[in-house]
Amino acid sequence: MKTIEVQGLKASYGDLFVLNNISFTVAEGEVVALIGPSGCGKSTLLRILAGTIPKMVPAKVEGRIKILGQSPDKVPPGTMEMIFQEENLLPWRTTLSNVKLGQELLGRRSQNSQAEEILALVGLTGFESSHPRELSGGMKQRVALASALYTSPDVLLMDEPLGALDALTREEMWTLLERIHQEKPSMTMVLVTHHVEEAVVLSDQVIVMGRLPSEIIERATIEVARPRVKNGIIAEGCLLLTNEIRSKIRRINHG
Amino acid sequence: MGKRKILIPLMIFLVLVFGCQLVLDLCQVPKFIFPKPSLVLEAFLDNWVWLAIHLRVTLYEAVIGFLLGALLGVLLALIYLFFTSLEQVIMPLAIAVRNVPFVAIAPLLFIFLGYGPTAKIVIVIMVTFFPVMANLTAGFHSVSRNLEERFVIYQASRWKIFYKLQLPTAIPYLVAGLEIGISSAVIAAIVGELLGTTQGLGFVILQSVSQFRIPLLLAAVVVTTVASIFLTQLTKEVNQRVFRTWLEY
Repeated sequence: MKTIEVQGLKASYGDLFVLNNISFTVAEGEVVALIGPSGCGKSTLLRILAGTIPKMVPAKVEGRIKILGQSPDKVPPGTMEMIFQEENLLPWRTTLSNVKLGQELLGRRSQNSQAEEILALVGLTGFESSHPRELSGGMKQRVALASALYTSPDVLLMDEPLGALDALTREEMWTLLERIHQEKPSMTMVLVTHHVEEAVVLSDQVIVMGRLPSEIIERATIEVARPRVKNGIIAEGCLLLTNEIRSKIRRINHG
Repeated sequence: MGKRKILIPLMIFLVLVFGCQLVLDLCQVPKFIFPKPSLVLEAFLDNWVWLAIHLRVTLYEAVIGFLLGALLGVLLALIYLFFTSLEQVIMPLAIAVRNVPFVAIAPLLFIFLGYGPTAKIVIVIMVTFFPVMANLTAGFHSVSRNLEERFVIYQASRWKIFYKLQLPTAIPYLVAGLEIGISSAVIAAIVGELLGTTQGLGFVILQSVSQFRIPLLLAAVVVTTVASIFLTQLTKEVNQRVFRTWLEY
């Protein structure tokens, strides 16, 4: 079943033509990574999927976009979740309270025990009463992830969620995201990243976008068996594919 | 508040007072030019009941004016937030009111509102509403774009976005605006009293000058300063207690 369908998508901010003829589909439970140079419209594409463009930012959007068969603005609340590189948490709330935020906003009942289970999944047991200022960058992203998972979304959109983390923490988060993918196999994920290796390790499909007005310049299916990171070691197949995608991007960029 | 926080400024004040007393004694400065602190203290002790009566009037005008000014500031910031189309109307008008030289329009206010406390309360409102409005507006605008986006993805209502995100984010800004507002409230009330009244510390100052009672003038100035510091500290304490959750993150 197709969870996300994008066909002939074009987007522009005033005179700035950002996305041109973008088409792709994402199946249920699939993880797709969008990579490309800075400012190529990856985040715009993610926000169009989330429905916050053009709702929050005036932009001209054309084309067919369907999330579970519905246009993004018609998708029932709680279907999608989005996490960002930073500022995902309400700074005056504790970790537990931040995890429960989504449920609260959706008007659903939430229990501490369930929120604590999610925190245990992301490895943050014992930090329930901490405030974001007391947590490291990696821990904050784990809380954001826990908060997103707690609403059991069908689609998880991630806009460079690991972009602000150091290399080691980033790799720990890869393991965590892989585990989450195993535990919630029906959840579809779309990840925006600059990091080719990250895209390969985490996704089933890598979509490479070009410079503005951005088009899809390369697609790669990643068929390396999971888990792809074991004891901090990245599967050889991923490393080979990373180099292959990197050299393709370089060839395309240099004509 | 820690004892240290009170003791250090108090000690500095006492050292300055004794230093001043010593210098004025040694230099034999005439008391009508600059009276010694001991004479100021004497003037205070001789007139404390009279000063207290007038202080009460000034505090009344300052506190009521500040509360109404803060309320007006909050209301304008909320209108600004919820009716963004009014942005072009409210802000220029607020800036214009804020920049009206109230010393110049005070006589008009006295004509319209009489020489009672109302005219001075209006002057305090004119001075205090702006920092509250401007800070609260800045607070509303400082909301994280990412968080706002999350709320929109949840399809949270406008009201939920306001009270769960925008208001808590803006509280530290509101607190800063309230503290700036209260610190100017007493000064605004006194300036209002200086311009035309028969009550309040401004009147005491005016009377002391006209009668050349410099020690009493300085005693009134000290009382004014202490009253202003007290109100500012009181506001800080109240803010800390009421808004603690949103200030300590």
